[in-house]
Amino acid sequence: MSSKSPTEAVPVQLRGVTKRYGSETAVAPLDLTVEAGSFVSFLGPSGSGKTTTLKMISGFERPDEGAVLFGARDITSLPPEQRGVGVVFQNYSLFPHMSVARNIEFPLRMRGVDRSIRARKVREALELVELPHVAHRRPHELSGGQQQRIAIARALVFDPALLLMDEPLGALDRRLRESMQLEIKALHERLDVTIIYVTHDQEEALAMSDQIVVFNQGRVEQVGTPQAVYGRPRTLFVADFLGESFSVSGQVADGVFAADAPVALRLDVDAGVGNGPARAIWRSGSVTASPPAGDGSWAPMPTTVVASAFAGDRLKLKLRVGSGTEGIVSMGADWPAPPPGDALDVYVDRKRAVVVGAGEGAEA
Amino acid sequence: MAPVAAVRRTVRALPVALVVMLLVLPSLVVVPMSFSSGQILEFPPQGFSLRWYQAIASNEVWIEAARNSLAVALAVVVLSTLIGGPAGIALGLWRWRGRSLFLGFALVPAVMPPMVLALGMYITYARFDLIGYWGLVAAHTVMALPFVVLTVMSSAQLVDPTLLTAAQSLGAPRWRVLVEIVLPLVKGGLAAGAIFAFITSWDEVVVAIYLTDPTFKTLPVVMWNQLRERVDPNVAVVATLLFAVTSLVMAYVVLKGERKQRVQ
Ligand SMILES: Nc1ncnc2c1ncn2[C@@H]1O[C@H](COP(=O)(O)OP(=O)(O)OP(=O)(O)O)[C@@H](O)[C@H]1O
Ligand SMILES: [Mg+2]
Repeated sequence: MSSKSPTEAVPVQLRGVTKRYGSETAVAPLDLTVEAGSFVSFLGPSGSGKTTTLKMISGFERPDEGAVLFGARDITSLPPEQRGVGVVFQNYSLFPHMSVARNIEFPLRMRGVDRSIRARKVREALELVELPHVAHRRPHELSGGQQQRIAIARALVFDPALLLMDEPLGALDRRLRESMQLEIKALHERLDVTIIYVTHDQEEALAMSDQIVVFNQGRVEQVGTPQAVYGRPRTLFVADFLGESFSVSGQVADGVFAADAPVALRLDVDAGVGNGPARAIWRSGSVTASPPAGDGSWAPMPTTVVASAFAGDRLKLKLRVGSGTEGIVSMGADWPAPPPGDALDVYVDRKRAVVVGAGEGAEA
Repeated sequence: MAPVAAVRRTVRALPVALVVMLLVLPSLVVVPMSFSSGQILEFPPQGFSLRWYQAIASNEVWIEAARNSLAVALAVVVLSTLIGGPAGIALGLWRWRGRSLFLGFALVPAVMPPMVLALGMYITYARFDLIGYWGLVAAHTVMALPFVVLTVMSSAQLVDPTLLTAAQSLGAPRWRVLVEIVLPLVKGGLAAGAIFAFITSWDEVVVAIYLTDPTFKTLPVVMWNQLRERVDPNVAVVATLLFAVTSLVMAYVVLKGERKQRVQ
């Protein structure tokens, strides 16, 4: 429980892990390394294989192919109760017939820990989640947020080296979810534990993670820091899934992206993008209606307003570029929202454009 | 709105009224008859006395029969929960090949006419010399099993399967998941099943007539014999006592269920 916990955080490695249900492939051969002590989010749409991957790490599903390693140890065929992994479920899964204290004590009893040590550890765990006064209550006498905190305490009390959380905040309302995000983050900083956190909420993943693994259809689309997957998406899917973006279609030829007519825009691209159809993508911060004067990197782009919405400190605009692609961007709200149908000249930052291939294999 | 509510109330009251008029009242006439001071079983009874209760209390035949009935019923409770409990848990918690077939078989004794059961059992058990205590225990256990299986199965179906997953992830091997999580959560179903098993055996007469012999008789069998020989208030006393035990047990179940509902 304390930072000098006896079990040290371990790296987790998936090597060519595959899972099929009948003829359907839930997880395609997947390679992934989660560093010891890091906070990694699995992010992806429903059915993309996040839970299945997590279950192969916790031992509740056996991969059809490939291996799962904790450190140097191959645990592919170790049953779940011997993996020593803490798991937190979306619906809390507290045992209704036991008091909160008995719930937290459960993993210690299963490990034959001494009664006096158990009592101390339960107390510490309750203090860790700041609920020392609920020890004698039954789970149904707690609020949803409190139940989830007890579930976390129970999953941490036996000092697991690895904590898996499958949409742990999915059942909570938005505000509670945000404060719990901070609490979980703080816990991670205090404890020496590797956390793998499943979510389909990109803001949650961006706010909490050291690394984000973006899943799509049983495959990993991109692994990287929040800044990288948000600012430097490698595929159109990642760009779309991680938040508002604005894009124009075009063609890449010999390291230069040329936007389709009528947009007149040319961008130098990285070596990674091959010749063929492509898209240039911008995040909200690199699209504006009024570019700073004297900065030569802003290029004008004629658009049509499709819809607009006021969002407090920002205006949310859905814009169509001449060639037909639509995108959503936010801008400062210090000017009246233009009505749909209006022409609007925006400026995009050439330096912050991300060009990704849009040919076969890439999603439109 | 009011007429609708009235109709609804009538519809709800109707089955209760039918049960009371056709079942409870006719059964209840034995109660006043048991306090008769006369010589023969009649309604309305003549006078009031406890003489027939005293007669029963000092009659070896009745006491012996009551002891036999209780011994059979208790053994049936133990055996049917030991067999039906695990079966109900397996049926309620997991889907497996042959599950429906298994369930069908487990329920057969509940839908068989008692006469058919009795005759079949008599013929087979006699061959293995199973007439008497153990034969009756075996027969009643089979008859009680459907109730135990059904009640345990329905409470096992209410157990959230992720609780089992959670327990396993916290380090519990399968058998400990069963003992620590499943058993406490199906306790109510087991208790209800045990009580139904007790009642099934306690007042069962058709099979008991076949599977008992002159040296071993249960209460309902002695009652049956007495009714055919002579009609005195003895039978009414025993019927009243049987009825009282069964009602008390049922009242306990119902009240406990009500309280549990209120807690949740
Ligand atoms: N037990 C199962 N039997 C058959 N198919 C399954 C099973 N579990 C998952 N699948 C399939 O595998 C794919 C991946 O499912 P998975 O539960 O891993 O998705 P997920 O990314 O966790 O989605 P969500 O965000 O909705 O929880 C889905 O297409 C799903 O239908
Ligand atoms: Mg899932």
